[in-house]
Amino acid sequence: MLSRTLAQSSTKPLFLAPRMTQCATLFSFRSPLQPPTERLYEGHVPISPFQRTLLAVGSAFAALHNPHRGDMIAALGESTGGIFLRRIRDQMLKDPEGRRILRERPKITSESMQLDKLRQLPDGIFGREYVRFLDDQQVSPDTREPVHFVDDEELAYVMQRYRETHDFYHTLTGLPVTVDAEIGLKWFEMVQTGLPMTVLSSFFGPLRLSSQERERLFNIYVPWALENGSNAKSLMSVRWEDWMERSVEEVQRELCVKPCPQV
Amino acid sequence: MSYSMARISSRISFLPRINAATAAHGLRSPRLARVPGIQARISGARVFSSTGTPHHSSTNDNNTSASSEPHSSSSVYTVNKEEIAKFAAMSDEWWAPQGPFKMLHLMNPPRIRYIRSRLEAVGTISSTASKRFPLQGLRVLDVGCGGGLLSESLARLGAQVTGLDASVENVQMALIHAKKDPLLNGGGPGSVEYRHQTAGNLLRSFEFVDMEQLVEEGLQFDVVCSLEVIEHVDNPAGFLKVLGDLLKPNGDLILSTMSRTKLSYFLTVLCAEHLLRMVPVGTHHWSKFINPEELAAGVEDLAKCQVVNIQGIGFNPLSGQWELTRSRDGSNVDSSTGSGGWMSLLGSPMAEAVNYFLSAKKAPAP
Amino acid sequence: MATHILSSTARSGFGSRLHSVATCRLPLARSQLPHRISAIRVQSTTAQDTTAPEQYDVVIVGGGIAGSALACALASGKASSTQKIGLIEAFDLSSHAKWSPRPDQYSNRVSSLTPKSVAFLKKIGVWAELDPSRVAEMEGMQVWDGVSGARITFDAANATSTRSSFLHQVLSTSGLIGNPAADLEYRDSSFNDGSDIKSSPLAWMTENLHVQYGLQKQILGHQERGVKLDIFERTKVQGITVKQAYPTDADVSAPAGSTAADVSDWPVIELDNGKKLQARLLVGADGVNSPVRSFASIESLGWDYQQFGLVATLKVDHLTSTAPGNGVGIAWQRFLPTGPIALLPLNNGFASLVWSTTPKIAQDLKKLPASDFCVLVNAAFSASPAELEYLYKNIGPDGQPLVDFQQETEWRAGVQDMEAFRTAFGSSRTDAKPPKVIEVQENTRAPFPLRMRNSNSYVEDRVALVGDAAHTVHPLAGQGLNQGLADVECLARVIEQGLLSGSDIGNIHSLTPYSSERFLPNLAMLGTVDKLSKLYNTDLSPIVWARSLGLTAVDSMGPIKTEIMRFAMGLEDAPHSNRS
Repeated sequence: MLSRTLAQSSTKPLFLAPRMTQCATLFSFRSPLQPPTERLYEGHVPISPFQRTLLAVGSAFAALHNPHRGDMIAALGESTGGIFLRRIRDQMLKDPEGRRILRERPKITSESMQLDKLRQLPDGIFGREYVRFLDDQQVSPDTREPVHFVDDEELAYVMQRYRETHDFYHTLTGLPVTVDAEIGLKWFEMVQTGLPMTVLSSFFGPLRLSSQERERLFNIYVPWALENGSNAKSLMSVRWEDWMERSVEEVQRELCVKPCPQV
Repeated sequence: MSYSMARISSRISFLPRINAATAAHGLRSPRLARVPGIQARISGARVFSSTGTPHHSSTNDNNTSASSEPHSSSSVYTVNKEEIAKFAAMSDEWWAPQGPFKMLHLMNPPRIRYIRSRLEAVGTISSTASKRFPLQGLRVLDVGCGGGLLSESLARLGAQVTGLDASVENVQMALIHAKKDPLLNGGGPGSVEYRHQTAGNLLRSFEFVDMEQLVEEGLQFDVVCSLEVIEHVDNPAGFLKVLGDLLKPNGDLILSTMSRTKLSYFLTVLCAEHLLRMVPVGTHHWSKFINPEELAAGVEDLAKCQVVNIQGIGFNPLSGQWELTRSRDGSNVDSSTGSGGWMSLLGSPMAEAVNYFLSAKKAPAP
Repeated sequence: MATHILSSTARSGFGSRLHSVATCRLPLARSQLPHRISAIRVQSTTAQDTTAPEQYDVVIVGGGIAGSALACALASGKASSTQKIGLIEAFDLSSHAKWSPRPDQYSNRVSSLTPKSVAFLKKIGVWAELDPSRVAEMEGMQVWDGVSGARITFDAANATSTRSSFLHQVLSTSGLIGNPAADLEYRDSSFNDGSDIKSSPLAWMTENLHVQYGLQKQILGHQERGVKLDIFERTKVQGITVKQAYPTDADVSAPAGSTAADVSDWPVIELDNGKKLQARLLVGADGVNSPVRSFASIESLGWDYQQFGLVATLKVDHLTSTAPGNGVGIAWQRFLPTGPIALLPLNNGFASLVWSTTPKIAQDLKKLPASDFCVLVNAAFSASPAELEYLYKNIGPDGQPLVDFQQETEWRAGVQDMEAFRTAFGSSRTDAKPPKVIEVQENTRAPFPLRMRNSNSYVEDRVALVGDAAHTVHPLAGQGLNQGLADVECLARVIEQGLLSGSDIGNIHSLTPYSSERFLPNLAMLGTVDKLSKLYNTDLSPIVWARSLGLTAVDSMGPIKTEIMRFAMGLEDAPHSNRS
């Protein structure tokens, strides 16, 4: 795997900067060939800035070449997310619900979500629709790629949370999982989070669409995404676990998201 | 001529200091100033001066009133008429902050510093930087006083100053201005009075009086200053002689003027007048500038004084101030700029290439 | 007789007076003769009243530090001490001399005095009057960006060890800035021993009241020595007027040979106790809304920052600081998007707070319970701007916190510390932490609006402005008072030299050197501080990135850092301020 070979090929530092400031991660005089931190969390792979650049470029090309390489898309998101993850974290810090998430760090797994219980809920209730979506797609919350390359434990959690909550977006917006709808959702996320990965997906994703899909994307999904992405409450500060027993309409109303027009 | 004789004489009546001062040879009562004989002599001098007002053409012959005046024969006519007219035109603006005399205002503090330090150096006054009125007790004559810049400053330092100017407008200006400071009007030991006569005329009015009597009446001075005047004078030799005559024995003569060098032409005529317009065009006549050696020789021969110091002064465009340069004997009197002063970097020959001071001392009484 | 009254209608101001002198011969002026003569008569009758103005050489309006320091400086000058000086203050001045503070209490109005200011206070004898136990030496400074964390540190050695920096050497050898000898002398006089330059502080912190005390002591001493220095305290200026001058005709009517001077162009200051002073030179040391400035029709330009400064006296626990020497004598300043917060060292574990922030937050901070206020101050020096925003939002309308500040900040501090600990891996240093605030002294929290102002001119004929009357600056660099003292030092020097060269010290020509020496340095300082304030008043990423890069670069470039410090310490100066 690309990431593993990169991680192992760490080289000796050419020089050590005399001074390093811990906060100034945007720039500093430390060696670009040396990982800035030790291992911070389970699954963390500390990489040097040089490796990070290589990883970002490599994963971007790989993801463009094959949009189904989820690991590459994840690596791209992680290697480029730095200040944007920080911004999401700050947004969460300003919100009581977001703070609670950061404080308690809930994980979304099939166990924690008690999917069986959710299946018992009546139709139209958020939890029921969420499980229906998972069952339809034949996916499980447990199959998410873990975070490797974010050099900050809390931000790694934010990244993780971002991935884990992606499925709720489908339930909330009613967007299907077609390629054009996924790209529409990326536009929505781009407006919400500004994450570079969402930006890249939003602009390069459409290149691979058929003309009919592209038409649908730009005529329906993108206008909807731009409007709702900016109107909606910050969805990263939503503790979805607590919203399962409300109706989809109520959740949409509370979070200021209009359902996407059905095609 | 816009100023009629009547107008001028009416002006004279409200210039009490002129009356008092020019009541002549010690007769200081205003009443006596109106004694016809004396008045005639004095007003004659005034009429002579007023011919130099701006609207008066010097080429025509209507200075008949002047020539009809018995005491102003051409032999002592040392100040050029055109020059008088030029400054009279500007006298209104004399005290204006950004007026054409701005450079002169800037020059005043270093002038005073030079005079003080020279008088201290030759022992005329004791070295008393702390005393409020260091010039107290000195009678000072300021020839070419203009609006009274230097005269007022000297008087504030305690001197009894007589200011002399060829232009009645200047003298009026100076009188009006001197009224504005209580320190010059009984608030301090210093005093200032003005006469609008040329130095030549001042002597000439009294030429029938015995020279010894003049001295007795105090019409000789401890210090005679004539700063930036001699280059405007037609007959510098006669001028210097008169200055010497007005000095008491052992008195101090302080002069300043400009050198006739390429640099001075460049700076004073080309730059200051034409390019930068710091002073009005036509202020300087380069050909009348006098080099330090010429002036020193003139002072020694004609004014019968011994030259003790020659020192340059230059305008520092960076600080916007005039600064004294090192003098020929290597001393630097300008304490305010310290030894690091920019101008002191220039050697003496260079430093005196434009503006310079000269101080000289008259021999003691035999 | 035209009279200029202190009001907005007094537009024609001073400039026109000279003009009217110059045009006195015009027929127009002449035609007004009878009217003016009668007016003069009125004037002469009032002159015999008990309210006849008393003539002064210098009248200073405003007895704050700048005004009192000017009175002191003039009274200690060789020539200027012969002048008759009046000092007018609306509040009490003499009580300053009886100032006797408790050792466990500090006033909230504290200033940092630069070496230049201290040298001046020494020169006028004020420094010796101060109680050394209430003067704290500032040995170092830590300034950092609250958004990115980029940091710059200063210590006394920076400023003095390389004091002959390249720029300084070039300038001094070419004579542009003083001469090295004078500079050294300056330094010797400003530092305690003069022998060990490196150990000299960057600045001295002390209470404004303390400086006032020293000034008042000196003023009393000068009065005892016989200096004609009259204090008019608890007295307000009711109006400042000047009569339009028509001197020629005044001379006409005056009896021949009269020695009465015509001082009609000297401003008359009317006090609310009925007394009138007439001044050769009127100095406005009367603050931001200077009446003297309005009288002289000098315009003042600038803007109000949408910020308030909140001051307070704090007690800190030095053991909690990770800086060398437990951070004693270190000033801490953190730039937050809402404005900078500064913790300035005082003695005995006290510190002074200057917190620039939005008007609303400043008001909320004032109402907050003391313990929560301390929590918030500590958070402001460590927590992320987002965290702070959350805390500000949770101050209730009654000033009570809506969440548990202690708990919230402890959690975030824990996360940050853990992160810092791990990321510090391989790094050679960690950023020093300021000491924790443990107490806020009662009734010392006070908000005040922040402004930037600069007068178009500092002088007019017979008028000079000093201190806040001339210019007002954002407090982030602690330069306001120092600029004021530099003005005073310069004006006193210009007056002294004016007297030595026989000038009329109220004349615009005598005052111009003061204006030309102070205007540009003040403007440079104002501009720098204003730009800094604006630069740091945002958390926009590209700007944060650029400013952080710049700050980090400067921090590692010794010579540039030295120049900055010398500028801030008042050691880098305009061409002629070293001369005296």
